[in-house]
Amino acid sequence: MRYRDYYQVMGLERGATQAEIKRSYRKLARKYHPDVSKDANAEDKFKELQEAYKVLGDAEKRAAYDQLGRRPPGEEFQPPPDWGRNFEYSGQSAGGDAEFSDFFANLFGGASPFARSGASTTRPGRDHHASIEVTLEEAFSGGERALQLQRPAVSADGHVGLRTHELRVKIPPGVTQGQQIRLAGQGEPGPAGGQAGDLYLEVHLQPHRRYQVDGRDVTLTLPIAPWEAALGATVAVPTLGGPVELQIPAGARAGQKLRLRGRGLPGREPGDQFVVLKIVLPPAATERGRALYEQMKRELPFDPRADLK
Amino acid sequence: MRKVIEYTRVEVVGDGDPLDLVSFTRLCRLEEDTVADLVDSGVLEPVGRTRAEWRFPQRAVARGRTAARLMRELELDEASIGLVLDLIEERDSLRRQLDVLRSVIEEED
Repeated sequence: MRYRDYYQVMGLERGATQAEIKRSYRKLARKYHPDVSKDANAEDKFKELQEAYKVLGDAEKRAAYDQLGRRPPGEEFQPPPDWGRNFEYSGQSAGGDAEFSDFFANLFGGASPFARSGASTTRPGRDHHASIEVTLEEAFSGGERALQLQRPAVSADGHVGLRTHELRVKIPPGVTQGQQIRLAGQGEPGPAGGQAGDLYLEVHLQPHRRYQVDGRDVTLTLPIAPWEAALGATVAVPTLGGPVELQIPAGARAGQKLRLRGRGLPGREPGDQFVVLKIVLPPAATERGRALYEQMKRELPFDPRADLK
Repeated sequence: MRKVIEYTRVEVVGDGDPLDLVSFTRLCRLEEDTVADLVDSGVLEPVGRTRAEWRFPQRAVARGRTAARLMRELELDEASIGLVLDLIEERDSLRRQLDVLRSVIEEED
């Protein structure tokens, strides 16, 4: 496994006080929290930050980490054989750490001395949570996905590593952003024979080049010609379920919103597709094109700036 | 040593029947008392008067989960979380509108 420099992640010197560590966490958390940040790598950066704070923010874990000495980040690293011997373990559970690094899992997670809680009583396994990227097409028609989940597992020599676990999942039609797919019994196995927890997959819809999505509603921008806007027209519009005919009213404006009821994502209450009109001007690139514009200029009593006078 | 499991039985949370406090709490990864505080602050609005009668629409799970995440990870309290959630939702809605308006006035890529 690779060494991680938690001080570097948090932008701190080794001698930072606990108060400075907390301040730095709060500042960086506001900057990189995936619900707030626009940064494309916010999720990864935030995960790194959480891992670093979980260790440095806890005086006991921090002291243990400091004893490892300073190494270049990414250097191949094995924990010393007497790891954790001189520390008193507070025995906190290691729940919610499943997405942290190998480095963390071995030193502070799952079966490390820091998680020895002596809890051998029967209890239900914890629920596990992960996220799944779904395209809009899959959200509409459903799909199938092979998922690889990493779970902490104890190897024969007693070290904790991440073991890959593969699942095949059918994505039902009509899932939307932020919804959860429950896989019963696929969470943490129940210790000492308890019932297994569930696995929840939170749906993240990938951005689509054509559609904007809001819940189950989708919005499409439809380019039309000036004469279609002025005279009205019937045009074929793509929808997730295939093209449909749309009536554009005469005198349509740019930015006008038309509704195709029930053409959004399916569900108990199916979403709608909104069509926003965009008027595209033909270029005056040919002689004939220029002549037609010239004719409009001469024959149409039209002043777009009448209101400014 | 990969373990492959064929698995097809799934259930989508978000479109089904309303949830009672216990199920809602589990799905949101919140404590029951925290959910009660969020109801008191008007962040969550279940149907029903008493805790035992509360029924949460499934689409509120996403809001509850975001609340749980932000409270845990940004150390926010029940009083401030409502404002933060409302501002995030408003920001997302404005971003969507901005994207649509941009697509109406800008040239295709």
